[in-house]
Amino acid sequence: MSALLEIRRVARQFGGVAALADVSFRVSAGSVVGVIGPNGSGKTTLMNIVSGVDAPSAGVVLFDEDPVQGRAAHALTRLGIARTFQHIRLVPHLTAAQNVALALHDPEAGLADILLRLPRLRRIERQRHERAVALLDRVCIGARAASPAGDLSYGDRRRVEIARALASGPRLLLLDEPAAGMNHTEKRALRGLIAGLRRDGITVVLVEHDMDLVMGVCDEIQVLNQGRLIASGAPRAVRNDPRVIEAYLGAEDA
Amino acid sequence: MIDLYYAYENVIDLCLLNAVLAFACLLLLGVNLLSLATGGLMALGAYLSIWLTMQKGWSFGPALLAATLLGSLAAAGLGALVLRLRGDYFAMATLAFTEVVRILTLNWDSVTGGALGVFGIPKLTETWQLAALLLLVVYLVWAIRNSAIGDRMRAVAEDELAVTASGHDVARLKRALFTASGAIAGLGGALAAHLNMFVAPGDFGFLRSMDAVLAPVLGGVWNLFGAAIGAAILTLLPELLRFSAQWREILIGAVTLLAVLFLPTGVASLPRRLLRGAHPGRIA
Repeated sequence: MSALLEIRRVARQFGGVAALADVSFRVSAGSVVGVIGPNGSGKTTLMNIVSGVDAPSAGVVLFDEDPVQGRAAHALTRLGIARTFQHIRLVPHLTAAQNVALALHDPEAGLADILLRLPRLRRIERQRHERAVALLDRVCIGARAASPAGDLSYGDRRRVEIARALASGPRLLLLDEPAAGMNHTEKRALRGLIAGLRRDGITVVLVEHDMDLVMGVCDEIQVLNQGRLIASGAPRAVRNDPRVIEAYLGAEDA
Repeated sequence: MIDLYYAYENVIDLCLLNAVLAFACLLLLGVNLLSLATGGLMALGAYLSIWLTMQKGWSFGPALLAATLLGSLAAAGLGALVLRLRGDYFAMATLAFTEVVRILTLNWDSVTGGALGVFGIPKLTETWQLAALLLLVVYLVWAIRNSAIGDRMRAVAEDELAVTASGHDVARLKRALFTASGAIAGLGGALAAHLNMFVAPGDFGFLRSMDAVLAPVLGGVWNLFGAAIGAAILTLLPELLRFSAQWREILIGAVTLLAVLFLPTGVASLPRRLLRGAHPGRIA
């Protein structure tokens, strides 16, 4: 299968500290790939680089075989790379639907429509609202569409953020610790949601601490430790890899 | 009514003009930009239009258009340089722009008359023009606020990264808003210049810029008429306090401070607050 995303020898230095060093891996189109590792291992830095929030100090990021490293984040979203954040980034006093509509680009009213209040503005706005509600339905919170995002529970806010990421019509979806703070039921729903995204042909990169979720939903897992890739492969192989166990539990002599 | 208008024509004109400028700043405050470039951009529009009408024989309409264009171009250029700056630094950089323009106008004697200013400017600005412009600006701000762009602006004020991740070029949005507010300031400057017979560099300095930002803050940023109410207060208050030059500045400062402290949503929220006070059981 062709690779939708390829990370090639990517490094990121913060001053003298190497947050990422020589990281390379491929993400096949249509797969769900987990990125795991202890705190501070460089997972979020990697997500920031792939989504254009940050640029690598060295190396190449290929999206659909085009180099995209260092491109602006908004341009990458338009290109088909959407993401959620470890710390939820919603606008609290906009409704859930308005938050999702932020990332809807089709249909989108032009400046002339807005300033002249052309008749088609109302139609475009209705379509946008309907699409936003449909996306919220897809993450099972369509009923909360009119609630301000700030009033929603933690798990629901995570779902709104995923719906917003889906609104831009991504081919690659980066989920940064989506299960953080979720209860057991919510985690199970999330697992079903990710499986559903895969069925719809969306490639998912999942950064996560929750091992049950990662092992249950991923086709392949990449393990980072101190900015380096220490293992990769199928969930079962990675789980039993001695280097991974050492990174998580600490070496005997550490 | 007519008598009242003639007696206070100048104050009414100033209220309208300052309200227009306040809306230009309101547009920027909506995305957390505190710009003090209003004075400098006004000066560009003012001196260009004076020069065109007095020395080049242009009629008022084209001169206003030219001033609007210059204001927007200057803002676009300035924005490209300073919009990447954050918070206080952006405010300082825009203030520096206003100061640079003031010093230029102070020294470019052949066009600006230097420190003495320009005398005998034809009074071409009419009250109806200012009123029409204010209506237009209020409409435009309302239309933008009640659209997807308005939601995007609110989101930028809250969390720029969320908007960027949604696929929007936040820098471009800010440049567009800054350019639009520059156009309004340039036009406002031209209208201000032809309101009185006289213009001097000091008319378009720090205080002018400050008043334009203060008005929407005083009136309330999230109420459509807040900026107009704030501008009216800031225009009328100095007139009412004319009896004492020393107390004027102090009282204006004190009123603003009290308003910001006790009415964080602006003076425009006062009626609703009072109503709520009268009917404690009702949620307004």
